[in-house]
Amino acid sequence: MEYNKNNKFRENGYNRNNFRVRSPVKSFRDLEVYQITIKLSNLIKNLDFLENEKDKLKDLSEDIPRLIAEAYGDKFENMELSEKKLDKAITSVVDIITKLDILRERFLEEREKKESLDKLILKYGYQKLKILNLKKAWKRVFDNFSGGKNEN
Amino acid sequence: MKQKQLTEEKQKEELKHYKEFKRCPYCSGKIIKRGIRKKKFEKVQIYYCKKCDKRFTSQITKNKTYPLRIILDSLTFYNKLYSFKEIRNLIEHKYGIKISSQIISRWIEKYKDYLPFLRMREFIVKKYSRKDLVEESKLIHQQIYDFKFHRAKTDLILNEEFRHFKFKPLKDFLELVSSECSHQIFREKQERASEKKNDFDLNQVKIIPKRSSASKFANFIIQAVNNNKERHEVLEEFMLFNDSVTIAIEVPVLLDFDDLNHYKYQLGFDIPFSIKEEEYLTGHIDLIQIRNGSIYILDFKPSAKKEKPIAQLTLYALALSRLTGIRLYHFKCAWFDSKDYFEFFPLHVVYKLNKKKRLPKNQERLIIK
Repeated sequence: MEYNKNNKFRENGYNRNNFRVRSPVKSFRDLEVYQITIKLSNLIKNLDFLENEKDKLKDLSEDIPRLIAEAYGDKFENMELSEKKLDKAITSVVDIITKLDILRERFLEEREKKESLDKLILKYGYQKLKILNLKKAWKRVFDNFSGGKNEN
Repeated sequence: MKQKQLTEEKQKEELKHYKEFKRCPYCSGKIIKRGIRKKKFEKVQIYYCKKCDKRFTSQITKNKTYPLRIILDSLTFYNKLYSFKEIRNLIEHKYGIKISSQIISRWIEKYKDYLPFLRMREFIVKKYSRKDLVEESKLIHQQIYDFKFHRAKTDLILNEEFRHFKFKPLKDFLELVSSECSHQIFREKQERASEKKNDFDLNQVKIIPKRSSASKFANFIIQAVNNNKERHEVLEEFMLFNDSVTIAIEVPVLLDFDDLNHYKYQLGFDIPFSIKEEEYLTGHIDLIQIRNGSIYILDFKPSAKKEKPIAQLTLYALALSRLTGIRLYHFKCAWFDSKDYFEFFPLHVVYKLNKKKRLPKNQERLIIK
């Protein structure tokens, strides 16, 4: 029973042990899309040739993981809201891709810069698909979700 | 000319795929290879046993012009909701051999015993498109795992019997695996459930040998494949598409620090090991079935009689129970090969009954001083 004594959550009437979300992951931090978009936003931040576009790109790229995390929480109660948030995340991915494409056109002759932009565009393209898949799967499961109790 | 060469090469590979005999199946005496039977599309090795003076091949299915692999494939294509015309084209593209649509329908009639899915097929054709039938994804973990989940069959099974309705969380979990699965945990080198040693107390655990359709399937399919790894894949896919109970294959599961402590201290299960914080126990379940009001976790072991994968299967059950929120009471574990099938309750492994008899409430225990 040592574990129970150390568990501070018990005092508040919230039992951490009994609870586990019915899904392959425990929290939004385990989602692969979330982790990779954070890494990509860091990559954008480290690029030094973006000039005026840097601030906008940085904001947009930081929006994506935030929206995914919010959608993860909302899906249990309001699937429509979480769908909207995922849609928003997809639009900001598309915005980033167009912005990067414009920059790529500008640095067409400088090979290194062009290649790094190409990589980013490709990676963001994959993430867009993954967010779409996530949306489809969530819609199948949580659309008529009754929020039942864990039996264990 | 090129096509001819290609078909010849493919046929050579086919011959290699067939199961090889080492002992006589009738008297288990020594055998020798005696010649090759040349058929229209393939060559089959013939064996001879000196002791009982018998000639035989390694196949059970007899008198078939076409190689067994083609028959198996066309049966699975049929249950993947392809039409006869499409199956013909697919087989010709894959093996370079032309077949007619009549022969496919004859095969379906002949191997009816191995296709219990047919009774569900007529309902599924009306309701689902081929795209919605199965959820597939390749999980690139330490190896590549082909995760598949039969959505249509699961829906039918859950609605078929009232006692199955409580397994809906399992369906939700399987639905989310391909998009939500935390791959980075599986990619890192974590402890595998299949490498765990048998430390569990096996007192009160009954291992029940049974006759099961799973070993019937294995016996039918294994004759077409020699390679052990490929055998696994072919058997799993055939069972997923053609039987009426298997709902998912190669399902990734994980058990962490919190889960294990929940089992140990909240439910009072005795589990003889512990997991450190931020470490995980991972594994991939071969086959999941729903039948007779319980969830079956199956594992294919090539020599089932010699092995006892009780720890591995119990850990799978513990992990899946925690991930889905279904009680461990509803799970059963089993392992099988082409001859034998053994089954046990995972709850009996971790939770022992106290044999002291309980007295009724109003009756107190007599204490003699």
